[in-house]
Amino acid sequence: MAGKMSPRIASIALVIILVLISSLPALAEESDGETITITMTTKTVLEIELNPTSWEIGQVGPNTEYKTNPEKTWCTMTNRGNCMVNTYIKGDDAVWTESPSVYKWTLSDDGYNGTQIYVLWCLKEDGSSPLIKKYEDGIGDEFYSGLGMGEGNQKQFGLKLLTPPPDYTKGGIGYFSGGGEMESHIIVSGVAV
Amino acid sequence: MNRRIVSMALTIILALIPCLSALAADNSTVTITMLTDKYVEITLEPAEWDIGDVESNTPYVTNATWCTITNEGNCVVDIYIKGEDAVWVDNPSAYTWKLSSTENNGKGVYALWYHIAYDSADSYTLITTIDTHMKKANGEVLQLIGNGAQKEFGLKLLTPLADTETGHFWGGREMKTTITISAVAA
Repeated sequence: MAGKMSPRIASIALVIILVLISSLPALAEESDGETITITMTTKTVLEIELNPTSWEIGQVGPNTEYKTNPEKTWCTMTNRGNCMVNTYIKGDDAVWTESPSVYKWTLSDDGYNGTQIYVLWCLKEDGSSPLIKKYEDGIGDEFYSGLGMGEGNQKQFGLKLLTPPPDYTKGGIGYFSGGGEMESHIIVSGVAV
Repeated sequence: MNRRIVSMALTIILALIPCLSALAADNSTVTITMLTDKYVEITLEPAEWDIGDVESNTPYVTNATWCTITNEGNCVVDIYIKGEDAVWVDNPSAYTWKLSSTENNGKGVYALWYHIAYDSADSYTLITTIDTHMKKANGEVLQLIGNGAQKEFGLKLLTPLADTETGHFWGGREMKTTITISAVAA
């Protein structure tokens, strides 16, 4: 084998020589041609818009159900981003705005109200009414999936709320220990698919 | 760099790219507000201060925690206080002591103060016939937040100056006065 070049090494050497030969005239002209390769990735924009963003129920009594008006199309959710999203929903405890740390209603996780426990449902266009639950961590329960762009970028829904039973009764009238304004929030999250 | 390490790094980066888009999220919020009925009620315990025999131009003081105000309602309340003239129980129209409006007593004029428990020592506030916010020494309005909330206070009374000529401090007469404490939803 000594002194005899392998045909494979010979081929590589030939290619290098040919490349060099073709470069030589260019070098001789003192000019060069280089290329720049540009690559980019479009940025994903996520934006979920809700309209309206507040539900002012007004005066509420104990153990009573309240629905948005219209029931199932009260709120319009629009995908304002540039990608398809799955949406998730979660609720929160309702707090007494006078002093949130003193009095609150816990959000039910089983669909039943109780002493200082209230219930929230989502009223969907398909007639279903899933429970809205509270999640300390995470983004909540799956809501509408595959919310696209352009046509098909909107979904509508409504809400239903059941107040707790009274905390005490005076003169035959039931009262909550927190008299005044109660406030709660629902969070809808959109995640790029 | 070792070719194997480069390959692993590339794999990790490629694996992270699809994860990043899945983790990206946007939140929107609906706020729900509702109004519950307010019910205002307070109680005072005790509701009587029987001083006994009093002398002219002499201060009488209760303990600083003598009276407890309790919020029996369901809302935040501001507390107001007012006093009135003291009258002779046997014949109210015949003999009275005027309630002072200046912190000074006088002939036929007595003075009343309150002190909120645990407030600055000796910080007494004058009680007049005008319904006024109860306040601490620093001007902070007294509020009872929610059902069961309590505050304690004491009273100080300074009897009128003696004046036997005009009969402004008759002996042996039972005098009576009333302090009104009211709660208003804040």
